[in-house]
Amino acid sequence: MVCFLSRMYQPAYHSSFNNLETKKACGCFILPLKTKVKGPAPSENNAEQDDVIDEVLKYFKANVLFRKFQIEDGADRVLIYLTVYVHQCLLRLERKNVQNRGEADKVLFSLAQERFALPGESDFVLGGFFPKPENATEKSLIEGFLKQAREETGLRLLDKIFVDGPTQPPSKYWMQFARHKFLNKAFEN
Amino acid sequence: MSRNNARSNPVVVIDNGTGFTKMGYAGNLEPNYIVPTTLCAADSKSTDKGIEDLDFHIGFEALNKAVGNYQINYPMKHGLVDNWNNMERYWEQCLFKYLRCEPEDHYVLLTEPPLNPPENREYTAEIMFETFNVSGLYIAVQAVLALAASWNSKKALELKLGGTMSGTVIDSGDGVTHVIPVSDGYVIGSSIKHIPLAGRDITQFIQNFVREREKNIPPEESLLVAQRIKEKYCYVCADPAKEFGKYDQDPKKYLKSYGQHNKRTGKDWKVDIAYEQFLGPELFFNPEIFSPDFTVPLPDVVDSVIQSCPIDARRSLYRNIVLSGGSTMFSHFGRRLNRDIKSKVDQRLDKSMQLSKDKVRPKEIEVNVITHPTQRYAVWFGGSMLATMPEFFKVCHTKAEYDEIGPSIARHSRIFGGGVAN
Repeated sequence: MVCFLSRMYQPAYHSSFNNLETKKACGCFILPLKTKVKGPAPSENNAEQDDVIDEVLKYFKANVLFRKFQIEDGADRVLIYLTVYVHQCLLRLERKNVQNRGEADKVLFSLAQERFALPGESDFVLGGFFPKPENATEKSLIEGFLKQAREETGLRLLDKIFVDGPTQPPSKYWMQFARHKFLNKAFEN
Repeated sequence: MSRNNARSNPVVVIDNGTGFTKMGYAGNLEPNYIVPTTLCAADSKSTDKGIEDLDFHIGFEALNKAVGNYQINYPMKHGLVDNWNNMERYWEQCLFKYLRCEPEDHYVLLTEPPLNPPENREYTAEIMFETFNVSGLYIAVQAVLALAASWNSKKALELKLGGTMSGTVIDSGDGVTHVIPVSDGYVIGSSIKHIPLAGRDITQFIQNFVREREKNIPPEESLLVAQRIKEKYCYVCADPAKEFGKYDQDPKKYLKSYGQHNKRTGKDWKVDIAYEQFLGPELFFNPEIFSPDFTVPLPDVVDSVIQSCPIDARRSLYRNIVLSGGSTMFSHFGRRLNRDIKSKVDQRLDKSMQLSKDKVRPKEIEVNVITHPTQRYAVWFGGSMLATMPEFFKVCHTKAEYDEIGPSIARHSRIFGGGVAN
């Protein structure tokens, strides 16, 4: 019931980790991730427990339709960043006309390795949502965390997109969302 | 002979909407004809002098004939009569060509939108009594008829709401959605609210959304396909994110397909129908998805309409929320609306309890959204029902009164029918 009431005021879906105690960087929580990718995030060992990337993918299709999002706390910033990143992944897969899992793995791995804009930089499109880093340590922490989360998100997204098998083309029920910009923002046009 | 006979003949009920006109005889469960409110008339330059004023068509025929020197007209705009000349001609064919009646042997029930200026009723009366010579006329407010239409529904009977003249009417057609509070048979005009989203916007969203995914719809068919999906497959879900999850978990159960033969290319084509089934009607509950300009959900609008009404009317308005119009026909629409309004109301009561530190415990507010099978033409059905009541002839304006006093008698219509259908 309580969860439903909060939905009435803020229609988009929020992260459930907003009241977690974690390290912070640029207003983001450094949340635990279930991943083998190296990085600063603490690892979540309980496979049953959803992490923020599961939430992003669970809510992606619903959230991406909304134009507004009211940030409650640091976990929501991670959710926003990764939702926009998932959109970028879909867009990239569509542009490269990827037809099977092998190609997709390569495309998303190279996307995760690319240089990407950080909060505080002039080409960072989500500037309104993230405060600037105050020092170099904070900057390198957020960079490491986002990079780690980007790579893991790409891997888990591909599990969802290629449900019909690695040799099949990507699911059209995911690819259609390449046309929807979350909050009207995108990392590439 | 006509005057006496008229009371034993069935009353003619005509509901003119912006899009469609519903017409038939009182006592029937369904209108005899549902045709577009369109008229096409020949140009005045037409060569056959003398009978050119008879050369016109209405309804579907008008749409089909609208070529050459025929021009298409929409006599109603935004629920009001826009062109009285054309409206008169439209009624002429309604009565003579479709219903095939002798208007002098019948009483007529017409409908009007809330806040219709009294002058319009005078014009209507002039046309009805002078052009058609009807025996009697009653002009009913659409929202009140929609209330009456819900009296015999199962839920209304369970809740003993039959015959109540108070309630909130949600009327959603193709162009606009109205929320209209009615108290004791009178519309509370200052509290009416309009939502600029309705059926047409759902169709458009579905059309765009399906086109993003399905590449093999012939472009000329895409609007039709969207309409079919809306009418046949759409439903209201409890929570969109969970619904997305269900589809992805068990696609076989939820995905539907729709196919047709393309006459132009001679090939068959097929599309899959997925999330648009529940995203379409989500328009009412999360309008943000559809329009950047209007973002207030329908339950919030209904709540604020009722809150702006006089305080002694509010409980009865929450108690009887009635749906009318084609765009309220989605399954589970009523249930979701009921839940959302109820939780808003409960939240407010909780807050007032907290503020009084538990000293004041308000009585719980009952919220009921009434759904019934005649929602699509609820207004017409309500008219058909009320016009069969014996009281109807007492409240009608008769030809004799009109001849005695003039069109001003039509400025006001007496309320009747309350408290009968228990």
